[in-house]
Amino acid sequence: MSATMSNTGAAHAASHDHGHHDKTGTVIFGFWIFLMSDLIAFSLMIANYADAEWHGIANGPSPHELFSLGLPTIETMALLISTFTFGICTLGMKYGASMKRTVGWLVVTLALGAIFLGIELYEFHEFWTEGNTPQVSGFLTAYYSLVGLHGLHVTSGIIWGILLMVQMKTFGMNDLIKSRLVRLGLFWHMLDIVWIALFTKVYLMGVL
Amino acid sequence: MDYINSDVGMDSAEYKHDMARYVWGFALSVVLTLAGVVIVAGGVFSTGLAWSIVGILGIAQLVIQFWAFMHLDFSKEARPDLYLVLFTFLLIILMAAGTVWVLADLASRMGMGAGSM
Amino acid sequence: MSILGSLDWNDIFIVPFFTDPSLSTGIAAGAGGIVVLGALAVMVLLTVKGWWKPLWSNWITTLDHKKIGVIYIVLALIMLIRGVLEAVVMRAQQVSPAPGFLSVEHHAELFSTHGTIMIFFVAMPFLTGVINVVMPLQIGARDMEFPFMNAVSLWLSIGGAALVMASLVVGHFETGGWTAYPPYTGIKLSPNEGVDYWIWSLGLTSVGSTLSGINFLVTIYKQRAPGMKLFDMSIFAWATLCTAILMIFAMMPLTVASLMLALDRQAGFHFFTATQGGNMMNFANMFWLFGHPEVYILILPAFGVFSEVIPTFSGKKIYGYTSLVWATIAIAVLSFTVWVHHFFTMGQTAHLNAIFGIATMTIGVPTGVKVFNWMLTMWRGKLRFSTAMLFSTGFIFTFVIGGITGVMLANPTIDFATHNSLFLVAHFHNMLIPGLLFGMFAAVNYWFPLCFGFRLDEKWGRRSFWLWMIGFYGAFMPLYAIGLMGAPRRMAFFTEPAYFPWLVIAMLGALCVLAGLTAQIIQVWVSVKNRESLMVPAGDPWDGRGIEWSLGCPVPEYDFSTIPAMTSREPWVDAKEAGKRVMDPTEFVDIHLPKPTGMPFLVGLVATLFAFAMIFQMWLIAAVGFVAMWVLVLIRSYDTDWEETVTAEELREGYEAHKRLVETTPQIRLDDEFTTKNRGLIMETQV
Repeated sequence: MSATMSNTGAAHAASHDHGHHDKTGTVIFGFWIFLMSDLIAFSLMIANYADAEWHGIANGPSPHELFSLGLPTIETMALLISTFTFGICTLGMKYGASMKRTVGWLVVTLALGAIFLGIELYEFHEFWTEGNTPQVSGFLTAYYSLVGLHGLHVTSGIIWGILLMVQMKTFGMNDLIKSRLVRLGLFWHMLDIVWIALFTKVYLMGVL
Repeated sequence: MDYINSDVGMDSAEYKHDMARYVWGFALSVVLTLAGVVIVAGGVFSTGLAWSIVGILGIAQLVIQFWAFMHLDFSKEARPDLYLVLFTFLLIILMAAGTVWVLADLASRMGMGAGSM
Repeated sequence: MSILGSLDWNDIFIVPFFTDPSLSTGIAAGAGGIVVLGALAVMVLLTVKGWWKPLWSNWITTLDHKKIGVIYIVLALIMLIRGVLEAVVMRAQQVSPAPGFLSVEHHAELFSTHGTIMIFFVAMPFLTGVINVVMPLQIGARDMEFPFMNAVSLWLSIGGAALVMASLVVGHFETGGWTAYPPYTGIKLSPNEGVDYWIWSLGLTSVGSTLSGINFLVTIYKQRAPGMKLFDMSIFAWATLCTAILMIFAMMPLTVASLMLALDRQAGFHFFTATQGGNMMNFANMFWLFGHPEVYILILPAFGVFSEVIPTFSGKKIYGYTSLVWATIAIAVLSFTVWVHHFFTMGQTAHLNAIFGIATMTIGVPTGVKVFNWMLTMWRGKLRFSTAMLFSTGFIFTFVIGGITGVMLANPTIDFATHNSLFLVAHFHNMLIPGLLFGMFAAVNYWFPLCFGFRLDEKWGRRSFWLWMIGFYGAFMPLYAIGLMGAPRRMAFFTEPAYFPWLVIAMLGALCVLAGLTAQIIQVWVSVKNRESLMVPAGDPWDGRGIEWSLGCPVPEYDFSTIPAMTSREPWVDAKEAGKRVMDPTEFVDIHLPKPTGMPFLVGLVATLFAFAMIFQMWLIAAVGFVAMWVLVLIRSYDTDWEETVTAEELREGYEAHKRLVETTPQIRLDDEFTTKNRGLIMETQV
């Protein structure tokens, strides 16, 4: 689709050509915008949580009574390491690492994500069996939904990663697959960034 | 910015340079996370002070991870993404902080005492 | 619970009429009947005419931005007919002796569907459709950046609209107004499926709008013709850019709030309940975090349309381009700072209300700038009152009145007296009818030839304008009056005799609007019938200024045979002033266009089934539908052969053919613009 203009400056035409050819960059930019839209959803959930934690405890437990720092810290570390291993994965891919190495790091990342998710579900289960279900109070509703929404994102990230590994086998490491892996990477890094906010607001500030 | 291809291999200086950014980001994130946990668990500071410090640590880690893992910086290639993220945070401040402000204001008028924050 | 969830026989539209016969249930059964018979009639017509196959291969599977735009606009017009009819029924209800012929619930359903439909299934698809058709042509692109996603957005929107139509046939719609505030819409007070219809139809369409916003923004950012800087774009493209940003960020609060409401209703959560620490005020807060930017999503594209139509029919370039662009940007950003003015009376401190009141008045300033821009564009221009221009000038007059009442309402002390009154209803209709519908009508009349190759009939167009204009004043000026006298909104009937004469005028106004809509249907009918004499194959039938008019009508599928060279803000005007009748070609190269695919339609279909199952709590079907939706996306991700090539040679032939056509088309004078002499490409020296 390149259409070099006789009457536009060479520099301009060049940068424009880049814009038209660079489908990967365009798709990634579009994905960035989607992520930002998603970030708005999380920020609203956090605002709702802040209000519910403040005024919505009703007859249920307060965050101070509910939370401890042990498991959430381990959980946080698992996700933090996973965002780093994903970085190793995509950076290697860019510099021509073997498929085996790329898949290997992706497996490590997804496994860490699964550990994160396991701990989160274990905690949900503990609270639930103590009778602290989301139906008890506005605060618990907000807690389960906020942390659960993040958990759903991690789950879909893991499923996406598994499907992508299948596609890597089918298509090999072409530009399309690489672009998809980079987008999953951005998604994954964004989830860790969101988790910083959640860990700080829900657990650290909740225990205080 | 080319996200997916490079002319050079994993033994290049570029790779090491990029890798260093990830390692720094990871190391700083670990330190900041653990610092937050220690401050809360240690109970040395007053609640209000600890709350503020933990908040600042969180924001610092957020900025670091955007820089290290999502490649945001002031370079020309990253600029559209940077503007996008900055605009988004402007809206997040308006929407999320606005929500908390409005709801707190309403609560204050209904005699719902502010609990612990 | 059975696999069909909460669905039972009483949900079928005619059953209530037999169990409890009355005029009210009769009207409901009749409305459901119209939907069913209408759908049947369309199917019979398609079968008899053998149109199923062309419908599938030319329209349903299309990824062409122009056709997608046309489908959006058709959807909007169908839903507009329902919305206007509902309005007329409500007006008739209020002039009939109390308690009227509708049950209170039925009336509440009517105002709820009227609002929901007009905002989400008329306004949104209308403006999305116009943007789809026009924006790529104005920035020199050949399609949206993500054509597949564009079609998915379309079919999600259609799915949402289909659900609202389905609520006439199966079950009920909600009765809590288009804003659906809890706790009234909670499960205790609204136990039937109505609120779920609202939640899931909006869920589909708001996801569609978010994706559209992403598509528009990336297209404008990445697909502009070479040399076109942001400040070289048309004002309409600027309006699209700002609208896209609002769509991306403002739809999310609605999605979040409505899904929270769904969790409250179906899972016993306590987001917005009145007990157990729920906070219903946060629903109002989040709804308007969406709702106010939404107002500008609706109005900015229309502002963009007026900024194209007025210069063309004034024969002058737009006055104050830069100020107009900055006003648009300012409106877009400020629109996120004023949401509290929708609930001044909820109980916040006066201090907080005052801040949002001032912010609201501030947003009137850039809007005022725009009004002066349009007036000064017309100043000393050679005005030609085509239908599009009539709607544009009608807009300026009417919109300013609405704006003034808006500034009144921005003052919290006045708002306390007029909140929830018909004064408010009059105000927002006064903004949205001129500020959205008139803009979209102008757009359809103005850009119609680009899609179909012929002009719309001017005579019926002008009739429709006068009927809409008079009908608008008749229907809504009385509401200002009785609103100030104290009449609340959403009342099934009034017993105050002083309101009666005003309500009669409003009823007549509503009938006049209905006549305007009918005139538009006739306009399309007459134009299609006389299309041979209205053909403008050479393009540019209005002496237009944007590069979209450098193309023949209808525009070929590939839009531009060569991407135009952007030598200035208005290269087509430059070319015409230099005596050229086609723009110089740049370079013919092979291009790639997306292949048609039925996949977006299937995604939309399955998503709609999923949403329908959620409404009636058919959890198994919902789960299957949800998984099926993503399986379809996965299947698509294996398809790497999604483009077809148009060769440089074909493009050259297209260009040569257009050039020959233009050269054999006789030039006409501007005065003959609306006659059958107009075969396109009027050439008269610019003022």
